Amino acid sequence: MNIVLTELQKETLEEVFNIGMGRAAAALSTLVNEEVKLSIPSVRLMRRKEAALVLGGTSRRVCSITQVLRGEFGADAILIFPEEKSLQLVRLMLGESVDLTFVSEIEREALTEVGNIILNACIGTITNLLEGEFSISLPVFKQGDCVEIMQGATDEQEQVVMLLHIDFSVEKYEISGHVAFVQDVRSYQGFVERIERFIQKAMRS
Amino acid sequence: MASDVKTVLIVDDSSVSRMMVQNHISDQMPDWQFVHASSGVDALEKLKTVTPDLVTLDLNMPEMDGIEAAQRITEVCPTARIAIVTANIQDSMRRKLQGLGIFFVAVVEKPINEAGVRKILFGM
Amino acid sequence: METQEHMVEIGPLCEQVLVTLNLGVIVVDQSLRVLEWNDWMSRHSGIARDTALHRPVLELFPGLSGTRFEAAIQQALLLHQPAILTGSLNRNPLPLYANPANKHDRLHQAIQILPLRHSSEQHFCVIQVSDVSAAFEREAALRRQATLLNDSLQAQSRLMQELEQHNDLLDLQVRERTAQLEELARHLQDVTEAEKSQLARELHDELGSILTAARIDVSWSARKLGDSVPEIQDKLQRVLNNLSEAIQMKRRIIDGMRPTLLTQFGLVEALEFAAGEMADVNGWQLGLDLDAKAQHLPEDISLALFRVAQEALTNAAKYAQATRVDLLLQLDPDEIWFTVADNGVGMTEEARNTPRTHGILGMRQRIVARGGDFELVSVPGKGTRVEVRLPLAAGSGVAPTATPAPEH
Ligand SMILES: Nc1ncnc2c1ncn2[C@@H]1O[C@H](COP(=O)(O)OP(=O)(O)O)[C@@H](O)[C@H]1O
Ligand SMILES: [Mg+2]
Repeated sequence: MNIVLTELQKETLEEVFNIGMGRAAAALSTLVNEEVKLSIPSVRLMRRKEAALVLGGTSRRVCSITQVLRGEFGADAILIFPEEKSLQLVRLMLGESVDLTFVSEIEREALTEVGNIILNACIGTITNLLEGEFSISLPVFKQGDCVEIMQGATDEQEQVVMLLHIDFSVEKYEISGHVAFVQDVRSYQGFVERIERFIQKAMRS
Repeated sequence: MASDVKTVLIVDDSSVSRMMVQNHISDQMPDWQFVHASSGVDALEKLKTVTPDLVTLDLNMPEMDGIEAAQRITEVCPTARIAIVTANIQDSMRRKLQGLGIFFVAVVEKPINEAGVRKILFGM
Repeated sequence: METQEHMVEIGPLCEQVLVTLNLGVIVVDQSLRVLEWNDWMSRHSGIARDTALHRPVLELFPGLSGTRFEAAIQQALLLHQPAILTGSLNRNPLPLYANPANKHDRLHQAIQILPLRHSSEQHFCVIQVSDVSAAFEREAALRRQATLLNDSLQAQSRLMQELEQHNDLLDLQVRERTAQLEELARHLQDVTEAEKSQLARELHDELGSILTAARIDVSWSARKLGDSVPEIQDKLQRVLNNLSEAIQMKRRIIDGMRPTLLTQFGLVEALEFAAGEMADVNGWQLGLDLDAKAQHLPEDISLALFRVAQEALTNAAKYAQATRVDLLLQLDPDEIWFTVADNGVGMTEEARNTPRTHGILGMRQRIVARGGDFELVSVPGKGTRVEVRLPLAAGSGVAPTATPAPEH
């Protein structure tokens, strides 16, 4: 199985993700009433462990919200916030004054909903552009370091994944995070076919 | 008529997006001519040899972002009309664009479609 | 055949399940019309199933048009995306109550909106509502407890802080009072010294001159009388002797009250003289190391040191059975060191600490009142040492003073 993307495919993938995250950022921006800044997206093939390191490694505690896509291709869409900042974010939205050190159930659920809104905006745009049929899971909340969070997604540690990755930040709340699409190579072929079709259509060739 | 033939400079780091803009515009304006630039810097380079009537500009680009590119392009080529074609559809971005004091013909959401192109052509 | 039988049973069973569920279930179609409205929904919304069926869900819940609730349903129908809506972020969007008759306690809701794909043309969406009021209450209670705990911790640390501040204040007060008492003691001593020297002057000038005049007169009378009346001559001789004795006594009294040595000779010579005399009487070997610069110290300091020396030497004579006594006086630019040491029997620790002994207490007080240190070092069988350090106020010492600027 050929897993190397052509330059055009890679670039298109990044653009599709960019458009999806544009929607997601707009959704988040409406929630927090502040501008959300996005980095230039990047796509890379790497081992799962390396992907965890790219996203923050074991040094930082993070909260993650994951939704799993199944269909013509599969992928885990993961939103990652640093733990401390994400608490600030929901507490701001909930108007809570008590500074508890643990994530309460209510905060955890509120954060999951925020993740759900962001991920849906992103996933919806991508699946729409690529015209695929998918089932999408409910969001799942996790807490830990990035390695722990990446572990759950699939069982094989050494597996090669495609990491599609973008940073976002809300300056006023000093919040930044990542959205990542992690895909194992098995479901990757279908994805590349979709991309290719999208390119053909765009180029009218 | 020669005056009806316009030149469009399409600035976007994604070649697929550039092709989409070109295809959608030429659907409605088959005679128009297109020049592509893959970055703000590239656009300024192209402006040394062409004087476009319309520039379509992406915002989220590496090195020089669309905002800076828009300012530099208006300095170099004040006659060109600029349309923003962007994935960033946040209100704050629209406000920022308004604050630049440049008269954009349209701010259009990605991916570009027929309606978006009509908005741009109407603005011209 | 078997499969068909199975499906016949599943239908009613499903209905049964929907009625029994402790969850609200709503199913809507692409036009948002209600296809299913289970018992739980009827119970908590007050809208009967028959009323709800086939009506647009936004007609049943008019307040929800244009909200995230509607957007999420559209998203599920068009993009097949599931969504969760929390009660806290969405202010419990659905008008559901424990008892819809009195609309007081709106349920805390957790809502899931799930796409349901029947065929590629027909899309549905399931809205599932659970009552999380109990969990919400629990968390609210937890939060209250945490707030209380936080508050009491803060109060505690505030109290600790106040206590510390209070302690510091007390410390300061104790130090101030001690300083005041020392000042007072010093003042009393100064007053006593002043009174003593006043008395001494009067004794010397007044009484002394009277006694001397009387002696001169009596002496003259005795000479004039000669041997003519032996009885009177005897009496006069006795008066003369008594007068001499009175004059002697007067001198002793004056000496005791005002250390004449000191006022006449200065500290160093006075110490040499007093110690020398005591050494002669007691048979001590005397070691003197006295800094000559100390000759012209301020009067109060000289006096304090001289009194210490007197007391220490007296004690050594009274108790020490020493064979050697050493005096050391050393002057630094800003302080004086003075030591009187004997090689006598020494003192037990108990004796050293006995407070009723005024001699040692008096020495200590004199020194401490002038901001100095007093220490009594004594080891049984080895001897006793009185050590004194006195600070010199700037300019009061013997350090060369700056040459005054020439006047114009
Ligand atoms: N140089 C010394 N050698 C041995 N014992 C001493 C010496 N100085 C003082 N003492 C002991 O300390 C006690 C207290 O002395 P002091 O305070 O001068 O009181 P006082 O001389 O009136 O008895 C004395 O009674 C004596 O037992
Ligand atoms: Mg004594």
